[in-house]
Amino acid sequence: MSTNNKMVVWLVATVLSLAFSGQPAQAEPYFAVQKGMQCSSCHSHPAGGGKRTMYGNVFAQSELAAHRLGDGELWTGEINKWLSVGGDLRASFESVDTPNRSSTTDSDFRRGTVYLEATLIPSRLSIYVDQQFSPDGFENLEAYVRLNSKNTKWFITAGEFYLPYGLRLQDDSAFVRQATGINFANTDRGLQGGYESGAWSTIASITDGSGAGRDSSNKQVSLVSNYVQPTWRAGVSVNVNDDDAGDRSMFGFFGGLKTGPVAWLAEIDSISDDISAGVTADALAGLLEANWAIRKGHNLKFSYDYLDPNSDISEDQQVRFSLVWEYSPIQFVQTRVGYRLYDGIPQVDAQNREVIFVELHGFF
Amino acid sequence: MPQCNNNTQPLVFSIITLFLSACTGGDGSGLPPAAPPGGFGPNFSEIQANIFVPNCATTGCHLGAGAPQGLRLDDANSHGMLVGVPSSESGSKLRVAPGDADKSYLIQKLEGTASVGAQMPLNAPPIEQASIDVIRQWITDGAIDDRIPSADPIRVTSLSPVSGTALTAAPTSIIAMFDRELDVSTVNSLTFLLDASGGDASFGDGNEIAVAAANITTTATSATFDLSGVGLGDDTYRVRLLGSGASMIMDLDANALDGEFSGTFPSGDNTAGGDFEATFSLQVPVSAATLDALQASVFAPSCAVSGCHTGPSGNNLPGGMDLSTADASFSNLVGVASQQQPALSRVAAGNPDNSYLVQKIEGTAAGTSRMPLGGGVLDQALIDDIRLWIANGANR
Repeated sequence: MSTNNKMVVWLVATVLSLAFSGQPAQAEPYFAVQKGMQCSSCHSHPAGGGKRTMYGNVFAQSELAAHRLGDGELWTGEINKWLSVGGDLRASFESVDTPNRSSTTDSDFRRGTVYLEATLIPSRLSIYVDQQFSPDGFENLEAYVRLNSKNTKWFITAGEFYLPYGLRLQDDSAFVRQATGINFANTDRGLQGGYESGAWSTIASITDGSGAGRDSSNKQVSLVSNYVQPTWRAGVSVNVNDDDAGDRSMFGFFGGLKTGPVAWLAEIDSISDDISAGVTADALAGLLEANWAIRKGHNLKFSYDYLDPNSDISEDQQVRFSLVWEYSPIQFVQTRVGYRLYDGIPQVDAQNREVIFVELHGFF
Repeated sequence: MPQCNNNTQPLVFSIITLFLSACTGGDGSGLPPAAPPGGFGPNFSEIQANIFVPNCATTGCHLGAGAPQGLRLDDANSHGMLVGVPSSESGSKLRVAPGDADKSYLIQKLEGTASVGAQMPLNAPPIEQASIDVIRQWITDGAIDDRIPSADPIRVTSLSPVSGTALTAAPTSIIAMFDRELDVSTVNSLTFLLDASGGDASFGDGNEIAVAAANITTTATSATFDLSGVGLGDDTYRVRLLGSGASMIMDLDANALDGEFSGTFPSGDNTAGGDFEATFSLQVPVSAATLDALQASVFAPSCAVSGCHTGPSGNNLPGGMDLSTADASFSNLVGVASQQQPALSRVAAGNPDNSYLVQKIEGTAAGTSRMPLGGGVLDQALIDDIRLWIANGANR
């Protein structure tokens, strides 16, 4: 590690060490840790992500934002008892400094997504669909029909959806999301079922698999189960993707811990790929993240990512340090300002880049 | 579970952060060194090693069963899933269209011009253009997988001079082109041969005369029989490229030349082995072009016309040059420096290419008008007569 990199790490340590006091704030998986809640409290899908529930919308306006504008009436996303909507819009500016290259900057309207949920039978049967749009075009990611049991503890969905696995982080570039391939860029088609009651939540899916051609003869099975308590949680994930050209199997553990104003997240995943006959690559990906709620509307996130892409190759690991300030000045608006330091093998310059970014996130 | 005491949190955090600071990226010692951007050859094995493996076939990306779009770019699958395979994002395009880099979806994704999806590598800086250009060159060259030994024989795709040609001037070289990379060590004076017929236009009757090359040179897919300084007389010549016998031309996969030639390229009968043979003839015409004849056929009717090169030499004539009689033409042309290009003689005896007269009538004199001015272009046969007269010494 270079002197500059060490200085960045120590700067992070110093800032975070000196500032361990303040009021709680909230967002994403760490928000669930801070509140001691299941993901389904705030999101329509029990695994999290996508359209927000009425509670999620109310919470975002009343507690997430530093200031609340308006006359006090809250947006709930409910058009009527049959129809609810939501949306996300992200725009960003990024500056990338890669060794042996000129620095680059990029402004990007990255993507917008709208969600629509039609409740056909209240609490029992619904249809969910999203539509993502960007300058490059339109894309549908999730579309499914969902049936709940009478006591709403059990559910089954059929259609296309994100797979249940690990922590559903907003940042797809986190090594645990990038290396597992289970992130907001990838969906799969099939059936998903789950059980959620009290502290327990378990979701499993069987899908076509993300290999070539979505061959119906090969399936992907994914499962996530976690136990949630007010100040901590622990979970396990399993995924097996059967493909004629070679299987992929993954398992991982994740958890969360609340220590005062800091919500900790951790995940570790073991990934095994059958690349070709007799050739297997075993990888290990990890995440440790601290979210310090400085005060209402402000969150300071420090994360450490680790990836060993092939256990048979020595000294090929990559790490990433991130420091991100998240600020929600008013309801429906969140900004992110961050710095990421990548440290990888010298053969690939991109693995040793530094990134400064600003992101504007609007949602409802 | 009890919460941590706030007083202990800075210490806990510092310890963890200190621990993390010790966890750094690998030094790469377990992997081969990388070539600089563009610093590798336009062949698949080097592109795979320098681009696809470190940037694409990484865990969670184009590797294993979860590869996006089913596209695996590991060593075993990469070429088969790229070349000639329709894109799953944009089905009307091939991921790699051999021979057409611009239409290859791979290039569009790497350069960020694809109409669908993000530029690759995802969430990382783009591949340097110098490296993409190498990939472009590989595609333009046919997107061949150089790791697979070819079982097909190498063939001749062209020959210069063209087989059967009747030449009027001796060639300076003989060049053969092949459809695949040569084992250049097999191209030498034992396998690339030139014979004169011995004056009877036939071969195999024992009177052939072998012509030794000044040099035999090669590129990856061509061989040149250099005739610099080699005097070829009028005769019929046979070019041979051997694909059989003790010494023969082979490709990099040790396939022998498939040389049988029936007049159309590529050569061969689809079976390795067999000699390539082609002939050409050389007949340098005997000069009948005297200055008097040229004066009558060229200078008088085309140059010494009213208002041009006729009348007493002086400033009132173009270039001060009188071409109205054979004697005047001789005295104004041969060995006389050009006014427009003083470094050149109007006629340099023995050297038609460096004679300004030839350049003017062939229209190759830079920045000046072609002669005859406004009178149409001289017939090439007449120009050849002038060339021949000059080559023979430009005598009076």
